[in-house]
Amino acid sequence: MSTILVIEDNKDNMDLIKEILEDAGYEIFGTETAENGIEILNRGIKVDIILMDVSLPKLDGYEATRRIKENPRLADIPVIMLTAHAMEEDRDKGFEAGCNDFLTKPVDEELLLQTLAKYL
Amino acid sequence: MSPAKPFTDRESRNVIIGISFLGFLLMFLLFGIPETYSLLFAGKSTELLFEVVATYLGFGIFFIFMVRYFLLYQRALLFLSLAFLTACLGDIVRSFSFSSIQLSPAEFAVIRDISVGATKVVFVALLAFSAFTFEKITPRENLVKEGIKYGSIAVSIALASTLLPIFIFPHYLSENLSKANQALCQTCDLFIGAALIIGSLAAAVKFYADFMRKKNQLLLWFTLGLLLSIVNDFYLLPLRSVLDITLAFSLVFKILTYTTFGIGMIDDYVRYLLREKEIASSLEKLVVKRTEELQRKNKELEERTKESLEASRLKSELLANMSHELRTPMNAIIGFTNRVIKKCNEMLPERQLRNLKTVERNAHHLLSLINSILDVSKVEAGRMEVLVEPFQLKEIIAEVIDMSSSLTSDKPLKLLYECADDIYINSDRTKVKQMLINLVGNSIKFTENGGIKITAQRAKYLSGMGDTSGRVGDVFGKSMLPEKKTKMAYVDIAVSDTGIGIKEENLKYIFDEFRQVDGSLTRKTGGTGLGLAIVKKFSVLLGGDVKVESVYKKGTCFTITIPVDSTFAERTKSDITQEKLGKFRKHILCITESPKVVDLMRKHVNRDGFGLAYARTQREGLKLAKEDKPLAIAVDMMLKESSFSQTVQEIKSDIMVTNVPIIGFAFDQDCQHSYLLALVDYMAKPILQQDLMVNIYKNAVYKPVKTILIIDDDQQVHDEIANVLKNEPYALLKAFNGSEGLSMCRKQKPDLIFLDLVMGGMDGFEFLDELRADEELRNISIVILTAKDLDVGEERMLQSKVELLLKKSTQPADAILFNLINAANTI
Repeated sequence: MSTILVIEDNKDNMDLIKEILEDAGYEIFGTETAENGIEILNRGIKVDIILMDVSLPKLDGYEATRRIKENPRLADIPVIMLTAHAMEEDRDKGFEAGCNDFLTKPVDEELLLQTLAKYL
Repeated sequence: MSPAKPFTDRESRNVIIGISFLGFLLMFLLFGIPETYSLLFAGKSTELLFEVVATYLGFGIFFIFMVRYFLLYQRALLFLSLAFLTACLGDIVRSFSFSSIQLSPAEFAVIRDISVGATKVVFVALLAFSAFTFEKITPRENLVKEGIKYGSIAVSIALASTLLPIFIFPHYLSENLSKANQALCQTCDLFIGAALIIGSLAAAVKFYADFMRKKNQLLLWFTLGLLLSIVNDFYLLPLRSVLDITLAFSLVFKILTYTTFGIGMIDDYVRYLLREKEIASSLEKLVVKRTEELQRKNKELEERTKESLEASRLKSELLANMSHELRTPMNAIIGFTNRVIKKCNEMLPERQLRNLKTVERNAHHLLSLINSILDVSKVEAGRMEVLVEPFQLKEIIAEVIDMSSSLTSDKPLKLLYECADDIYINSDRTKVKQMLINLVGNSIKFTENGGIKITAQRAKYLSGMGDTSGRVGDVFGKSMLPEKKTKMAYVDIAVSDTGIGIKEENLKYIFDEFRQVDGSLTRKTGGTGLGLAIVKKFSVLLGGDVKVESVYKKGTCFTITIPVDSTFAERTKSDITQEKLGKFRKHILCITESPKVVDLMRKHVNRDGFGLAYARTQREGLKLAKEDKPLAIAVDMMLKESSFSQTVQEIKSDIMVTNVPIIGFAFDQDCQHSYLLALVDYMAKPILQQDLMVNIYKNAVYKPVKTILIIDDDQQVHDEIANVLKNEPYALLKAFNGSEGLSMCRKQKPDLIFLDLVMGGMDGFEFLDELRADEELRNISIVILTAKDLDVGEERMLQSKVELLLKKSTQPADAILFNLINAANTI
């Protein structure tokens, strides 16, 4: 069973993602801040994929992704950005930060599951 | 043979200093010193000594000025100095005869008559000639001819009047002249003396009149000198029986006369030197003023750019935030509703399930509304990016038909399309697709029976172009795509239906936001009310337009017309900045064959808030430049089709774009090293944007301070024009005659010249000939401002050579001033 780290500060959206992913049979770590997310990763907890929101308090999704990708130990973990920022430049910024994929909200259940399956 | 060019003031000065002083020195050493010596030690009177010194000094000065005026082709002044030179020469001969050579009384009498009488006559003839031709205009070629003509007349009158008595009265030469003959001779002398006085007086009056009109200091000196010379003539009236004491007085006045004229000429020269200095310093001031202005403008521009950048940033931030804030809750609403419907399908009562589905449908509608609003605002904020790529139109149309077919499932509609396989366009695929989806969706909504058809074909031209902001014209005459060598510039994509149609009065609102013909239909048919607005905005964004034709109750046809190549519409973020700069919105036209160069150029130019239009050939470039005048034209010096100089010439020779600055540049093959070769200063530099901008500023922002050169010998005219133009952004340069004007033209390259025709020295006609013959200066605009009565020939000749001819005699002063300002404003 694959483990997914979900970093999302909106509780409702977190619940939705959790529900979708748990239904699909994944194990979920949820956290509201990117700092906590990185902390979890640094503690050596095994994570197969990261779902990253962009607008997060303090450390934002781009920066968090960049830090993860700069850390050689974590760089291999795929990061999928999931954001309500839907403009083209947001997408560019995401890929620039090093994310592996980019999905926009409102989340399309099918698309999300397909994307995850690509990396697992 | 064309006449030699007149020397400038500066050149004449050098020549004079070089040659004249040498000649003068030689003259003085050879004759002056021995004579002074003999006078001093032979115990002659002191007046004679002074006279000798004054004569030699005068001779030197007049000789120098004669050379100067000859070099400057200042005819009247040349004759004036010749007159004095003659007088001096006569005096020298006479004093020579007094002092060193022992002569018989008869010989002495002849020498005296010739030296005093004849030279005087020549003197006054030349003087009068000078005074009365001060204003007259003679082409320079005729100068020598006329000089010989008038000179010989003067000489023959002089010889006749002095030698006549000798031939008439043979006894004249003998000592014992009869009393009657003596009286006759004296009458003759009186006659000559009177002629002298009258001539001098007339010349003096003329000089004075000219002085009153022109306020030229030199003329006052001449008047004064002539009055002194008249006094001298009075003393010498009884030439043959003049008393020693009278002679002494006359000598004093003669010395004064020479001195006055000499001082006058020197004074004029010094004034010229001072004026030159003043002009130099005023030029310096002008440079400082312009530099300051440039700095101020740069700063202003920078601030405005900053401001608009800030405004643009805030706006896009707001857009981004709005998008984010609205979509985040939509995520939870749609997501959870969807899940409940999916999971609890069986458990929920029928009615609740239906309600939930309504929630879901409305949530989706709201989302599409948000997306559409976002699209519209993005286009409006200039933040919609255009991604140009080549694609086959047919492929896109087939996709649209395929996607839309699901919408027709509940209606008996046929979806058809017609498009040639070989239509490839270079445009934004997503936007073209979205426009078609919107149009087809729209048609489906309003069509119950029949069908919908997409027809694409080449358009020959874009008719009825409405708002086409961002369009800079058909950039490439042909498609960039290798498969196609067609000349078409636009494609028409029509979506026609057999639906309910649109009433004519509603047609004009059809592309407005949130406008649906029948409000109630919104509910029935759905839709955001933004679909057509987006189609309109996208088509304009791509450089085209959309139009609609409809027959009520029969059907509607929307036709999108877009360029085959929308490369120019491709936007980057800074394009938007320049668009928002409003008044500062300008573009630079780049003529190059290399798309790589265009990309590079665009980056540089955009960063500075300017747009870029480009063309591949000189001809296209010129056409574009004329359609929408660019701030500057950057020309690739490596154009294969035409040489750089040809291109420049072509552009410069077109009246509509002749004042657009041209910047030459060159890149090496892989665009690694690039050079900007500004046409203005031909400096090879790496293409830093700063350099480019410096050149553009120099040529465009800097340029509004135009230079106007006023050539008029009347200070009053200068003052008047300066007064009229004092609030206009012009720098005024002054010149007081043609040669001064010409040398200033060479130095300053003025944009416009106000020219007087009648001037001392080089006049307006000569100036005009010189200027138009000068390769570099011939294009300067000229306005002639004259009080001269022109004959038909002169007028016709002038009309063909100058931009505007203003005659003080036929036009009221107000009209002239108005015309002057007008002329200044249209340079």
